[in-house]
Order: sequence, then C-alpha cells, then structure tokens
Amino acid sequence: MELGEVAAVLAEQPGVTEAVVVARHDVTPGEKVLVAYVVGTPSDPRAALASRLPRHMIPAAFVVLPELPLTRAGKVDRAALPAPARGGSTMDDGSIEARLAALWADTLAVEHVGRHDDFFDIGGNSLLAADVLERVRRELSVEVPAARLFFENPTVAGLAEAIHEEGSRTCD
Amino acid sequence: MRLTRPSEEPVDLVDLDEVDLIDPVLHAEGDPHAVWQAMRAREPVHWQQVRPDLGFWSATTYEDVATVLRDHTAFTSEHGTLLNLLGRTDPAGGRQLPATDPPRHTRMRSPIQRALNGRVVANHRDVIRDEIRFLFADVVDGEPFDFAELTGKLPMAVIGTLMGLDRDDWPHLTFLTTQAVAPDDPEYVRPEGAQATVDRAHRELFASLHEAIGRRTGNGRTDLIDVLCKIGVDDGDPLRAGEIVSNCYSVLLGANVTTPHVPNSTMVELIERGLYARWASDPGLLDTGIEEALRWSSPTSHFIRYATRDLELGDVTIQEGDAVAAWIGSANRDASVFPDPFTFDVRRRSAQRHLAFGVGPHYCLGHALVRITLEEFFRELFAQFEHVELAGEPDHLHSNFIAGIKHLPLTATRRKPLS
Repeated sequence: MELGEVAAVLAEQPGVTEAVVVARHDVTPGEKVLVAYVVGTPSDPRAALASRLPRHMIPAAFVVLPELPLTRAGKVDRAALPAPARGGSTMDDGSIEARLAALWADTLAVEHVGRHDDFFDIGGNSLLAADVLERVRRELSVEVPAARLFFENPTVAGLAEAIHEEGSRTCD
Repeated sequence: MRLTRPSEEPVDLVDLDEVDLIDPVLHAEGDPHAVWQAMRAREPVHWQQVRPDLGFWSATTYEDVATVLRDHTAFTSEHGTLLNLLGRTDPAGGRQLPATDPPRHTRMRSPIQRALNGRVVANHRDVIRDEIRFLFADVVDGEPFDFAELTGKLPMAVIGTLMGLDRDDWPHLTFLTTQAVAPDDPEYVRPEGAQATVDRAHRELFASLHEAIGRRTGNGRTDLIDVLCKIGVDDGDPLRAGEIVSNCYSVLLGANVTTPHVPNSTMVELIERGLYARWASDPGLLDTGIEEALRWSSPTSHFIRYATRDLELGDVTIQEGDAVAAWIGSANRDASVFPDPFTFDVRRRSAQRHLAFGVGPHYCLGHALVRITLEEFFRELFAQFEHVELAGEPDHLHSNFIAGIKHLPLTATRRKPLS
C-alpha cells in the first residue's frame, strides 16, 4: 500500500479536510517513521485508521496543521512539513525504556514508540497490554502492577518507572 | 428493558423507518418488544441505516435468529458480535471465544465446556445454595429492599468461586462488567462519556484478571482460570497471555451481566400478574418455570454476525460483509413457536426451545451452571418467602445488549415457621 492511499483513507474521516502522509528519517535516527499531517478537526484519526489499515501502515505520529504548506507550483511542500514534537529525551539503547520501547514496537508492529506515547493511542488494546506484561515478566524478569500499564500511566516512561520501583523494592 | 404486552396494540402503529434499535434509551424507557413485534409481522428482516456508509440488518423471527446464530460458515463472529462495535474492528476477533469461529473456537471452547458440564457443576450445588441463603439472610421481613441489588451479587458468588477470584474484589468486578455493557447508562457512565467508560472498564477488568492469573501460578489449586490457562498446552499452540485474560473476561462478563435479570424480570411479572403464590406452591413446576423465566427475561438481547457471502435470509438478500443483529428477545416472543408469547406460563411446554442461551457453536458455556443457580435461587426464594410485593418502580438498564433491571424495590414476607 502506498502512502497516498493512507492519506486518502485519512482524508475520508469526518472532520478531516486534507491529509498527507510522509516517511521521515529525522524522527528516529536510521529509521523511516510515518507521520500524518492533517488539516481539520479529526476526532480520533488513529482509531479510524486502525480499523481500515494494517498496523505497519498506521502513522506513528499525527500532526494537525491549520493548512498544508504549498510550493509555488501549488503542490504540498513536503520539505516544509514540521517534524512531529516528541515528548522527552531520546533513550539510551540498553536502558529499560529502550527495551520496553522495542518490546512495544514489536507487539504493536509499529516502527517507533516514543517514551510518552500512550499505549492505547498507538494501536494498543487490553489484550495486547496483557501480552506486553507477560513479555516484561519473561524477558525482564520483573512483575509490575498491571494497573500501571492498563490505566495509571500507559507509557514507556511510566512502565519503566514502575519497573525501577519494583527493582528497588526487591533489593530492600 | 420493560417487558410489555404489545400484542394488544395494532402492529402498524410503529414507524419502522424511524426506529433506532441502537439507542440505549429505547431499551430502557421505550418499548423494543412493540418494535420487534411490528418487524416480525411486517419486515422480519429489517435494514436500519445508521450513517450514510453504515447500517445493519435485524433478524427478528425465531427461525431467522436461530439460522444466523447457528450457521457460522455463512455468518461469522470474528468481526465483532455487538452493535456497539458496528463499523469498527473487534480487537478480540479470533482471540476471544465469542468472537472466534470454529474450528479454532472448538479447540478453545472444549476444555472450558468440560469444566462447566452438568456433572462437574453439580458438585458446586451445595456451595451455591449456601451463597444464596447468605444473600437472603439480609432481607428483613416486610421491609423494602432492592431485589436487583441482591440478585446482582448472585453471579459472582458462583463464578467468582469457580474462578478463584478474591471475594473482596467481587463488588467492584460486578460494577465494572455492568459498565462494560451499559456505558450509556446514567448510573454507570463516566463524566468523559460512554466510549471512555467502556475503555476504562475493559482496562480495569483486564488488569484485575491479569493479576488474578499471575497470583495463581503454581499454587496447586485447580479452578476455571487454571483450565483457561492450560488451553492448547498439550494439543497445539498455548494461548497467549492476552488471549487467556480475554477469555477470563468473557466468562466473567457472560455470567455477571445476564444471570440476575432472569429473576429480576420474572419477579416483576409474577407480582404484577399475581402468579407468585401459585408457582411457589408447586415444586413440580420449578424446571419448566425456569425455562419460561429464561424465555421471558431473555437477558442477552442480541448478538451480531457478519455475512461471509451474499445470501438470502427470509425474503431479503444480504450482501457479503453486511452486519446482522440476531434479536434473541424478539425470537423468544415469536408466536409461531411460543403461542400467546406475551403471557408468562410456568407450564409452557415449548419454553425449553427458548434462545436465551443462544444456539449453535456459541451456545452459552455457563448454561448448566445458570440452571443450577436458578433452581437453587427460586427453590430458596419460594421456601423462605410467602408473599412479595413491589415497593416502587423498576429501574431499567440503558443497554441495547442486555435487557436488565438495575433497581427493583420489593417487600417480602417470610413464611412463618411451622410450629
């Protein structure tokens, strides 16, 4: 499936007047990340796409713009599209957060997971959350309270914090 | 849902083009039985347009509802089984029993079916009776009480025990399962709205069940959760963690949100029609009366299926991919199978043909458990209480999925001990 088709599906959603999807290289070094740019007032574009597209075609980030930047020729000026704002700092590769992000990305079949991305906003659901916790137990040898991932703080940062808390409790 | 007698009204009064069977308010305060009766008479397979690009068929006769539920090759469960998921993908498709077709469904279901078969659950009869006596012990002779609050505790007393769930968690789990099926109900909706209510309820339930599963690893007891955990371990791919939790959720939900409404709806009818004393005085009518109570109450209103190919249902052509709602409450009032369907008749011979448990591959896994629970419940109710009266208006659940009563104020008079 082409990016244009993803954009076309997005443009059909209520509240969306224009949409363009690009693969950016400047979000995660060395990786292509899909970013959707939307004009209008979409309600929940990710959920709308989730029922129509395979997971790997769902953009990792959605940026709402007042209008799409255009070239003099009247086409969308892709170079002028802003990089999506990502919460927080980048992650060190061997850190708990990086391992969690990789585990989430694998479970959700997305390319990039930001440390403050909400699990349930990037394609996660309760079934997959249980899968994640089981893999955390097996691969990181730690039990975290399920409530943390399911509703208290469903982000990589929140889950990593819970793992550190469990770790320090075990050491006491 | 109010259980009415629309047979006294002409069926052409209902404007079928204007009916919205999705609207939870219709099911709480309106009269879906009048709508279904009109559909059975005039358009037994009826199309409702929801949005320009979205709609669904309603199957309303006994025969059509049974066909839709039974024929899993023509009508799949894997794209979602509830009206509330219409137009969206069910994340549980192919992973949770109700949303999975044979043959995978059969492999997942068989171990649970063995664990819940009549002989096995008969061993729990004494425990169930004790739990019911415990609930009735709180009823004060002649004082108003909420019968629905009492029956609401019934399922957890049974399934909570069988699943080995912590007793302290039972009330909250009960609340959450009702939120999951009636997120529009004013008493259950969160301030953020119905969708947020369902989402949060699902997450809390899954989190709680995930922890319950984790706690039991290797503790030596065998209960229903252990059975679910072992599915496929010896004869195929074991289920993933999410699938195990999801099926625990499904079993819990199936028990919690349905069972109480059999006695709730039945009690209203027994009182309003003055039938209580007669049924209570004839123990020989317990079994047929319970089948009639299941038909009468039909707690599960519908299941959705999706057509896997173009096909004929009744006299309409259904296209591949179309959603069909099989309205169980309507099938159970079909006069061609249940003559005089709006009369509660404890002697009704055909009552056992009811579809309250569904029919076909997804026939309710808990049917034997529910029947034992209802037998013990009604036997104990009739033994302890001589007379019951309404002490207020029943308050109905806002849900297109569950026909239920939230509150049912009653007074009950205890039988005098024989001296």
